[in-house]
Amino acid sequence: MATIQNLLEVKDLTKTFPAKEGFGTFKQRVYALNGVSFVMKEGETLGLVGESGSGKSTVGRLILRLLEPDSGQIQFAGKNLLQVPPNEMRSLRKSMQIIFQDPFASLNPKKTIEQILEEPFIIHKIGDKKERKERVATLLQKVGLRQEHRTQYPHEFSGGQRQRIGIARAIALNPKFIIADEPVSALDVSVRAQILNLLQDLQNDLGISFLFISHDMSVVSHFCDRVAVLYLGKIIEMGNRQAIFERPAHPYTEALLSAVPQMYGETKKRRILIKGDISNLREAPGTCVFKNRCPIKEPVCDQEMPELKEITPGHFVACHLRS
Amino acid sequence: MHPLLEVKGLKVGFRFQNETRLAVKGISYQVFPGETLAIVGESGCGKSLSALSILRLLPYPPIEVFEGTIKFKSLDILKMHRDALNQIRGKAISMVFQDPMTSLNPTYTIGNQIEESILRHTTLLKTEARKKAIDLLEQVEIPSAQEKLYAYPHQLSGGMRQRALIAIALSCEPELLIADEPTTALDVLIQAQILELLQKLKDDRSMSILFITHDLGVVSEIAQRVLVMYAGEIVEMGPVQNLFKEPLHPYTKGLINSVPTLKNSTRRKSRLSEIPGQVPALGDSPGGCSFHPRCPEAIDKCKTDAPPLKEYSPGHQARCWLYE
Ligand SMILES: Nc1ncnc2c1ncn2[C@@H]1O[C@H](COP(=O)(O)OP(=O)(O)OP(=O)(O)O)[C@@H](O)[C@H]1O
Ligand SMILES: Nc1ncnc2c1ncn2[C@@H]1O[C@H](COP(=O)(O)OP(=O)(O)OP(=O)(O)O)[C@@H](O)[C@H]1O
Ligand code: SF4
Ligand SMILES: [Mg+2]
Ligand SMILES: [Mg+2]
Repeated sequence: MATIQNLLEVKDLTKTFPAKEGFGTFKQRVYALNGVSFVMKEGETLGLVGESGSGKSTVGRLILRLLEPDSGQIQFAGKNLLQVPPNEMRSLRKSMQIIFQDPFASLNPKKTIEQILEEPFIIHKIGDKKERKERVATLLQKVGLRQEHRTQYPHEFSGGQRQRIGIARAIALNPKFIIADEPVSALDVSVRAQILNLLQDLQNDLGISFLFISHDMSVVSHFCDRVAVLYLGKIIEMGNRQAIFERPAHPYTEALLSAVPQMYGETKKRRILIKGDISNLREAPGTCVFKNRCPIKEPVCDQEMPELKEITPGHFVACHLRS
Repeated sequence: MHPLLEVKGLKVGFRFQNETRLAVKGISYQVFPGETLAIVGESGCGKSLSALSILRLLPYPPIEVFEGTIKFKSLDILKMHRDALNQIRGKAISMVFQDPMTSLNPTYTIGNQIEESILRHTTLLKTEARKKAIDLLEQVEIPSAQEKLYAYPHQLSGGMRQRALIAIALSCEPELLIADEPTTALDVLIQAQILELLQKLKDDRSMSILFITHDLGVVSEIAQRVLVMYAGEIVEMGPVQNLFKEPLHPYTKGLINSVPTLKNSTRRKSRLSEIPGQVPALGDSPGGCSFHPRCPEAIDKCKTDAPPLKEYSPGHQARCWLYE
């Protein structure tokens, strides 16, 4: 019996870190993630948005097993990632890659572009010398770099070109799934468009699923099929692009969208000003995570934690008053 | 109306192996009382160096002003004596930088730093300065201001630090506030708060703001006039509505079109329009119009001759052969 399988299933992920500064004798824990669940289908792009510190990168690191969760499950291509033996994990790693915000930090400054791009093939013992060279040539071409670039070093490239190198490395082993952690945040406007288009083309051509991490709602609205909004380690709203951008239901999502600076001539949304900051000392909340900043809060919000509920098919919201 | 600030033919750069490399290639503009002028452009186009020149804060060596004048009211800033300059700095003109952490002193409390700025520029007594400091922190909407006086910079969030910096910048009621990407490092909700705050302060005090950013959305929200820089030159300048409704320079058009906006994208995923290529590296600008290698509308003349900056409608200038 064939069921349509999800590529990735994340269930109830929780991750805490010891708080840097604690008061009293308790050892406080920071809940970086608190019961995060979502699924991704093959070829789909899921945007993960939220303010700094909301837990976006932690999600990515847990999926790649660069961190271990306190609790929860991660299924990738039908395998329980948290229990696969190391050798199998190594081969699964081929199909999951990551692109970072600052590719420079992750590119070895002492290696040429060719050496950097050849590396994944060497590690996974793919092809002989000649074949690897050919693969590098194809990669360069796919990401819009020239063959002359082979012999150059990372510092000789602009931010946009470095990001192209990072992308080339990520797609080298034909992954099914790429985590892109703020891939265009460090880039200038004109280059940002180039890189977003490149990612979109690669997705169309290669059918890669993207977990696209960003704090920029406009960028996400261009790139993602579905969007999950993270606030203090919880998904507070999730749905397809249209639902999130045209019918946002959570007061936080509404506020985020209304705060995006609009270019002259665009219809202005009425701005919902939210006071205060996302707080960084947190306890396991038994209440709504957004209550301290919420403009529509009611007494119930201080007493119970709102569940993520489906308000229309595929559109989930965690708010006592809106779901 | 007389301009508050008048920059003329400003060239900024450094010497490199017996030649002069210019990062700012002769820019001229004015800021009028009570207006916000935005400077936009991509990384490395010379925005910060232009702004730093105004207070003679360039990182010298190696960076220095090679040519030009900067007048604040009738005062010639570049020729002024240090002492006179110190009277202006932080008082008539003050500045907020992009990274609040590097411009706050980590070893002093926020309160100390605001009070110090007040005491340096006014005749207020210490107790009065303290009262004023609390008042300022309240104005920039820092909650429980009295307590925050005793906080050290690292104890505040990024948004709070940026507000504290704005409070310091405002402590002497400047006539001109220079803000170099004050919200770039912040989340949109905090950015919205800070922009609102600057807007309000500007209206209450009829202060002028020179606002540097690379975000066209932010420009639209805060500025009355915009100056677009490319590779050290002004390529277009004009009132916000002209610039966004009838952009002249192909670079401005390209910038406007390449920004992903919420509005156009909700129904289906679409490609963004790109400006091909990249900004030329300092010191190897192409001949002719510096934008020609990336320009979709370039004509032959663009490759050989550099176009002048010319006014094409009242207050709206552009540097492009297409309009000659
Ligand atoms: N190694 C760590 N040790 C302690 N705390 C951590 C660690 N990694 C993350 N955190 C904390 O977990 C929370 C979530 O961090 P995370 O990096 O996932 O946020 P983010 O949404 O990616 O933010 P940004 O947009 O700033 O990248 C933050 O409060 C952060 O301080
Ligand atoms: N101390 C320095 N030494 C040498 N070159 C410098 C120095 N400071 C700036 N430059 C160069 O001068 C040019 C203009 O720099 P500037 O900081 O004004 O750019 P910007 O427009 O503010 O960019 P950004 O948006 O990245 O802040 C850049 O090419 C930069 O590399
Ligand atoms: S649950 Fe309550 S506090 Fe939370 S967002 Fe909804 S209304 Fe606001
Ligand atoms: Mg992150
Ligand atoms: Mg700058």
